[in-house]
Amino acid sequence: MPASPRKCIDNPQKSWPRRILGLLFQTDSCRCGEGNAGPGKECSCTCNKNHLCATREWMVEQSSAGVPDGLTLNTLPAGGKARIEQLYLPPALKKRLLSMGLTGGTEIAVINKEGGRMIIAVRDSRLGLSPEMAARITCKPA
Amino acid sequence: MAVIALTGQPNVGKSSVFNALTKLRQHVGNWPGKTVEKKEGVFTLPDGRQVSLIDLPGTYSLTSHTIEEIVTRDFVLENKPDAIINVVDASNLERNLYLTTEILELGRPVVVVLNMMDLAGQKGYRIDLQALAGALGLPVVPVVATRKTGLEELYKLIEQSIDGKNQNRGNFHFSPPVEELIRKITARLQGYYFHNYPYRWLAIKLLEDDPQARELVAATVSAADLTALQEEAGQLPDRATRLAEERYRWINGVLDSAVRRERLGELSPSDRVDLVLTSRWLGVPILLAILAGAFSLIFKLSPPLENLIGNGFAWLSRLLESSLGPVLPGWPVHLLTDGVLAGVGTAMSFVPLIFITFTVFGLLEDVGYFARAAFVMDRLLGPLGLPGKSFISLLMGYGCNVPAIMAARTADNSRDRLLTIMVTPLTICSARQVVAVALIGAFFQPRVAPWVMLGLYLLGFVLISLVSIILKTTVLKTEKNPFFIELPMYRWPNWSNIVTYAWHKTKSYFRRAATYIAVVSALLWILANFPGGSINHSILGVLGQWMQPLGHPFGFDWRLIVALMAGFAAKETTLATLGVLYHANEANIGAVLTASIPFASGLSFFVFSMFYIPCLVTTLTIRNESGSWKWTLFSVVYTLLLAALLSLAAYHLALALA
Ligand SMILES: Nc1nc2c(ncn2[C@@H]2O[C@H](COP(=O)(O)OP(=O)(O)OP(=O)(O)O)[C@@H](O)[C@H]2O)c(=O)[nH]1
Repeated sequence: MPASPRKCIDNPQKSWPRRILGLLFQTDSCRCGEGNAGPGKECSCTCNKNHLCATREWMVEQSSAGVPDGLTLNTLPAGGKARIEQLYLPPALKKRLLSMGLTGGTEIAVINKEGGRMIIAVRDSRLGLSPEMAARITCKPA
Repeated sequence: MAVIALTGQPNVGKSSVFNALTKLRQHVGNWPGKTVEKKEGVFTLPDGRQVSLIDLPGTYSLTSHTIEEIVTRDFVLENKPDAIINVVDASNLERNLYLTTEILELGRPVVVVLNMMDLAGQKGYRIDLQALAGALGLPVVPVVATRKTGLEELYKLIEQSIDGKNQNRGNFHFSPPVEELIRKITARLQGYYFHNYPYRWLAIKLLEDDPQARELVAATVSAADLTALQEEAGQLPDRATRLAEERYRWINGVLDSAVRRERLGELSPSDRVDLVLTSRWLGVPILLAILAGAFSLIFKLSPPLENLIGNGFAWLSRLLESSLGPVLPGWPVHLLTDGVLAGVGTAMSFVPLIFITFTVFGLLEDVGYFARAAFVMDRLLGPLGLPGKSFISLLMGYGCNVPAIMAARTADNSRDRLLTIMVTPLTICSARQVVAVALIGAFFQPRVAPWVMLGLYLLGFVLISLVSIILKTTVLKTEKNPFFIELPMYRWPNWSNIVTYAWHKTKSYFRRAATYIAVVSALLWILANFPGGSINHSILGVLGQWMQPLGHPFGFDWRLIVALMAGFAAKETTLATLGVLYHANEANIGAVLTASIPFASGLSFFVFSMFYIPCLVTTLTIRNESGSWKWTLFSVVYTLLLAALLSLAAYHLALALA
């Protein structure tokens, strides 16, 4: 595993206490995979040799998820805007999100982002996304 | 009678339109064998004709991935309603019209109801109705369902549709290359028969990789045609995405010609409220405060009404005794009063609780808060394998399992709803808390009692997450998908909708549970009193003695077995039965139990009585809400096995430690 891949997602295997600690102690400014990164900017956080982000509650996204390196929704800050590129999701879920308006080229805006979860504006409506979901949607600057 | 189907995406005001049209002439139930609510109603057109209105589940699209989607499209395809009323939210047109493009493919006359015109106005939308109808190629009627405005125009359009005068099938089409492909596939399919399904619809669904359509076609067409179809569909890379994009492209064209909208990303007042209510630090405390307020309101308002109903039944019981006593022998009178009336009285005493619960929860749902609660809770419940919204049921369950199971209706999909229904009986309801307090008092020192109670709650919590993880990986298998949820705009509550909703919930409980209750209570009374008039020598008593060997591994004697059987009627009956069997009264029951039951058996009984089968009313509610005896039986059997396992462990552990 390379020493410092940029894309990190919430570690689904991490234990309960660590999940709670993560919620309590991670701050937006040091969150791996998002942190201070704005559209087009690179993630400022590095991952350690145990394949965990330095903040320990995040893991390096496995290549099986198939999300290519680049801008994903979870890297956008509150107030940021972008255009959807691709959804890296299982077919049924992907179709659900497509029908809810997250199709390629659609402009979205981040209304609120806290603790990794975000509320986005898409086609007149608001969607709440978990960090794991946001990490599977690639986008490009609006 | 003409049949009209009501369709729309979730939260567009479909129920409001349904209520406005049918008023109280409606029936709420489940689709046969499904955990999906079915609402049917009747209304009269101005010309005097009666129309049957079917409210189909709210769905974002019509692919066959959720039960709601399948129910909706199967109804239209198989029943071919005279018209489809497609309710769309005028303040969220772009996304709402996506479903419209799919509905058009079903080949029935469509009337578009532009609901929430007031909200669209508030959001600054300017909708040119004529231009919109022209661009859609469909009749469009503006409505504010909550104020019942626009209904006359809607009636007129319904009349025209029923009379076959609405021949508009909409202007929606894909791009020329995709249309060409659809034509090719349609031509190939036309050589076969598919239950009268429209060929064009089937061709589009094939291109969208719809699982049901794929199966149907594969089972019907020849091998050669199947290969040809696969090749044809293969010409379009990432088909599902392409088709969705083309639908939205057409919608944008329609809207550009007819609607002026707000700029994307501007913070609305609703967004500002969300900055607080879904905030990382305040979200959970606010949720807990709101729920605490809701529960305290519910449990403060209902007891006086419950007492009133209880007193009413007691009065009726005395009246029957005094009037029938002199003319009939004792047992039929007692069967009626202590059996049927007592049972029905118990069931009826839940009525205020259910009505108030659903008024309060209806309010929270109506204003749009529940979606936020799920969003806030998902982070915490997700790892436990539970959907965010099940939190409400689980918390409610500590008051009473009956409304808690009914509240599972707020789940996003039927699997989550079923999962919530299955695990809710593991929450320790207030009736079981009464039993727990008495048993803990009898078998534990006062200084450890609070810790035992806490341990019980923790055990319940662990069991809930364990069972849900097991169910989610086995019988209710779902992929662990990353979470997302639509957050509808906050709205002012509509009291008439809320009360109608609470009323239907109460009525459906009342009608079904109360009828079974009368029969089962009579049966339980007979079992507990025949022959001989006392439980010791009754069928139940004898059954208990006969089952004594079964109780042996758990340390139960026949009396404990009988108490558990009686507890099925209502959990607090467990205590009353123990009192009768051990000749104790309310005051000395603790001391009597301590003296008569060894600690290991007491502990084992305590654990068993907390988690074994749900009580009668809960069981019947599970039947109502799941729409399935199979799942009801499953919940009875699994809780019984779980309780047996736990109590076996508790008994042998206590023996070993002693
Ligand atoms: N302002 C306004 N609010 C409306 C109107 N119609 C419905 N509502 C409100 O919108 C919310 C959702 O309405 P429902 O009728 O429950 O919507 P639904 O489509 O049946 O929702 P689901 O059953 O969840 O799919 C409620 O708070 C209604 O009071 C309308 O025309 N104007």
